[in-house]
Amino acid sequence: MSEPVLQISDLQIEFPGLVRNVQVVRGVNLTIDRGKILGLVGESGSGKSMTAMACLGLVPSPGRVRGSVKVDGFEVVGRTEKELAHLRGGSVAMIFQNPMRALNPFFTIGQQMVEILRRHRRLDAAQAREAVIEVLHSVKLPDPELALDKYPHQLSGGQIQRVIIALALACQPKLLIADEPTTALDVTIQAQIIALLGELVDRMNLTVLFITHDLSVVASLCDEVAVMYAGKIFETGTVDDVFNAPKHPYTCKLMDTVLAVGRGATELESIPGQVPDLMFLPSGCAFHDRCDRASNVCARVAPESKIFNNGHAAACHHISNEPVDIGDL
Amino acid sequence: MTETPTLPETTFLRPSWGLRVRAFIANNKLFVIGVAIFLSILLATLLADWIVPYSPTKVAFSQKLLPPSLDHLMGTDRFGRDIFSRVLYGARTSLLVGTMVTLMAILIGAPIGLISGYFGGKIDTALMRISDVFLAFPPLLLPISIVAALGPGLTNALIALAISWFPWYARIMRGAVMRVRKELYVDAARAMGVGPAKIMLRHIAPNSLTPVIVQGSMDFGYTILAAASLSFIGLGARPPTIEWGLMAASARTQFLEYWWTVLSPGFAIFLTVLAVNLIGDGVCDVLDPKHEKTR
Amino acid sequence: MTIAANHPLIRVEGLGKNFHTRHGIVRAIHDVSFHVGVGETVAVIGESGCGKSTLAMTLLDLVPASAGRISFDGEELGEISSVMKGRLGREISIVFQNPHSSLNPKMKVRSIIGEALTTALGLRGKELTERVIALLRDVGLGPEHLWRYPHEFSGGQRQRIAIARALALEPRLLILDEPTAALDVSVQAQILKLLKSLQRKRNISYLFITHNLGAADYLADRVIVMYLGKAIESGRVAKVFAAPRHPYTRALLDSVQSLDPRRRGKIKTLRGEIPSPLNRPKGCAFAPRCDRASAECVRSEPVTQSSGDDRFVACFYPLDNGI
Repeated sequence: MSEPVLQISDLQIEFPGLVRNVQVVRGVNLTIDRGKILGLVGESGSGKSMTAMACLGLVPSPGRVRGSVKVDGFEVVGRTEKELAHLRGGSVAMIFQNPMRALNPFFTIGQQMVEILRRHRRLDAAQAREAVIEVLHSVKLPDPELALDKYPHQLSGGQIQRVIIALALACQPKLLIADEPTTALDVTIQAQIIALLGELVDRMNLTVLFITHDLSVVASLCDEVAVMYAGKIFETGTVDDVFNAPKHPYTCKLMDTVLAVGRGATELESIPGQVPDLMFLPSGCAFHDRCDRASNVCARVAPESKIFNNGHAAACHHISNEPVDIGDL
Repeated sequence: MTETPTLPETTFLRPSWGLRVRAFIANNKLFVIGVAIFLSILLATLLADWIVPYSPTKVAFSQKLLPPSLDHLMGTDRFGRDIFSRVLYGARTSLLVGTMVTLMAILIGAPIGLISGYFGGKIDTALMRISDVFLAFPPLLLPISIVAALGPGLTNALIALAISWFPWYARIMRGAVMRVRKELYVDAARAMGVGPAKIMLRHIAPNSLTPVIVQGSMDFGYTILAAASLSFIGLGARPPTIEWGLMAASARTQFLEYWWTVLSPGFAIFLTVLAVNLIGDGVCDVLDPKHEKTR
Repeated sequence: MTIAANHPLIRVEGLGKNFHTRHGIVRAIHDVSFHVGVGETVAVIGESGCGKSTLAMTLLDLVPASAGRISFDGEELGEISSVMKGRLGREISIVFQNPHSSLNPKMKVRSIIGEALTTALGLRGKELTERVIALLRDVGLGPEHLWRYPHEFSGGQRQRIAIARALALEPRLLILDEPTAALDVSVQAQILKLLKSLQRKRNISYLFITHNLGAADYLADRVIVMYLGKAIESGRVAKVFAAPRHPYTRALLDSVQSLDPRRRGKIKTLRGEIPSPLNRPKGCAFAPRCDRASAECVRSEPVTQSSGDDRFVACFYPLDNGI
């Protein structure tokens, strides 16, 4: 069994705060094996983006990172900027939510891509241009030769996201981190990009950490899923296991709140209250004040993660045991 | 689920005042230092009547041109007057100048910028062309010309400076207004039928004032310098008004031998402008409501 | 959702809006007609460039319409651009998409919600406070929130405040411009439930603009699908989603429905990009991306065909039973 491409152990990220320090990530454990896509799901304040940033050493400055993040065996936590510069864009690449903002509006697509390629691989200008066109083909960008001479504002959101994906993959990274890459895109384009990512992963045996708040995207693209809430992972496992038989009440409720076509005007579930302020977390389990299964122990003791078969784990005092009918998600 | 889904009691946990003050000081050190210096100067000048060691106007030729000592903290001038006492009193004039000029310039410039930015089109062009005329003058040339026309004196200097300064505020305000006018809450107000006057006053102006205030606090120092410069060349305050620039001016012939006569009021100007600049740097952050969250 | 009227609350015919830009004339909306019944929710769905947000703007007179006639409560009122400024101002209200910028950050909640009441009805002081508290209660917030600023609230709460503000003058039609798009998933459900219960209580009509088909399915009675400024299909939500007639509607549903763990790896995608409004394809705007397109589709624009039961589609080769 080869080493996992991403191994996060007891990751903790803390920011200094007004009253007390804010713990944005509170002991996260995550493993992704080669060729797998893991969907990291959570709402705002869950810590999912910070977890991703930690993989690249990009946690912004007042933040303090503790624990271990190993990318292909290479420990990221505690490294200097110089050591990390080699890692970023090399073994790990990241794509973000807003594609328009990721490119410099003053330079053409070709200029930016060639520059990045030449920085990571030893190529001369002509070779780099060839490589760029090839990688743009692989992301199915129409007319790549013409696109090279265009400026970012001349391309649509979906096309830019393809360019970004191409850039990310151009240096053949071991791990691709995608932070909500399709959230800002139109629905039909979103489907195109997700299909593209699925193909690329299969073809290149890529490993992906896919961050999203959209459960249906996870269902269609990911092999495994981890559900985060207020800095902790509540449930993790294969997509089939978690979606068919979610064990954590938050996961169950989250699935119920998904708006799906075909449900019609039936009663819609919602979770009362809102995501807690990370500076003033409830004691014990962070979800207990919104949970319909909560009892006294939940308010006092933070639950440990209990592991079931096949790597399915949930951190809750009141795990559910019946499979859930998810209907048409 | 009940008919109207209600939220459970929201935890509006606000930290205690003591903690907030301490955190504020820690986060905005320079601003706090600036405020501290400025308040000290202000306090000193307000209490001048009680704390001056000597009368600022009492002449004593036997004591003239004494260097700084424990007796006379900043020495004496050529009339034997204690410079420190004069500096304390002079602060009143300078602070007054700074406040009046900045305030007047803002009161003239901000409404112009507001109207210009909100309506755009011909009104905008007209107002901006007018203020461009004022902006085209090299610095200080315009106030000098105006004072020359009105006649020297502190009040006229104030008016001249305010007139020269307002176009900057008009421009800054206009820029902010043009940005704010596109905000969604302005659309929401228009959709509710709120009229343009109310929109400008309630929605646009309060949200556009930050850059104006920042500029104003920085300009405060410059207005003091400008007033001092005018006095230095004889166009601003005139004796017996006690004003720092005037003090430096009247002592300039003795500068080489009796450095304290010029440097003492100079130091006072420096300290005040420094304090105000520190305040100006930090006020932008302080006024931003999101800054309180320190995330 | 009681639809109790023999005439719709609002009927719009031939709505059009052109923007004159340096690059040419952009037809943001072209010849769109629709109606909304009393207490009914009509969803307008579509992707970028379809004109749905512009539609909202013209109905509020935030952007003047280039063409179109409107009738309200059965009474023919005339050209939209001249009518909207007048009496309809209070009957139509809006909740915007972005809860972070639709509330004035320097105003307290009481003023934000009460502004319309002060402007239109001259309410002040205690009377105003009481009305605002009642509105806050309707959206699930308490009187302790009166004196707070927007930044002290979460996104979902801000949207509740925006809804309270929109309801202040008791409008008959509320335009919801992607009201939940910027919110967390669990909060979206809360807000939609709130909107549904408010509709039941006040018999208010909604024009629900969204790109989220599931949300449209939950909240709406009828749906209009827009593409590049034209309404290409419309009808009762359940029927349109179960058996769409326009290939674009089918594609939209496929892009969403195919996100299902059991159908992983088999996502049916629509080829191509949404054309720029500056560069409208000739004939049917959807033809370049359509599998069923023929020469006729490229030559001329399809006319809308009604098919009874409040249903219409603008296509030369509509799908039969969703296939």
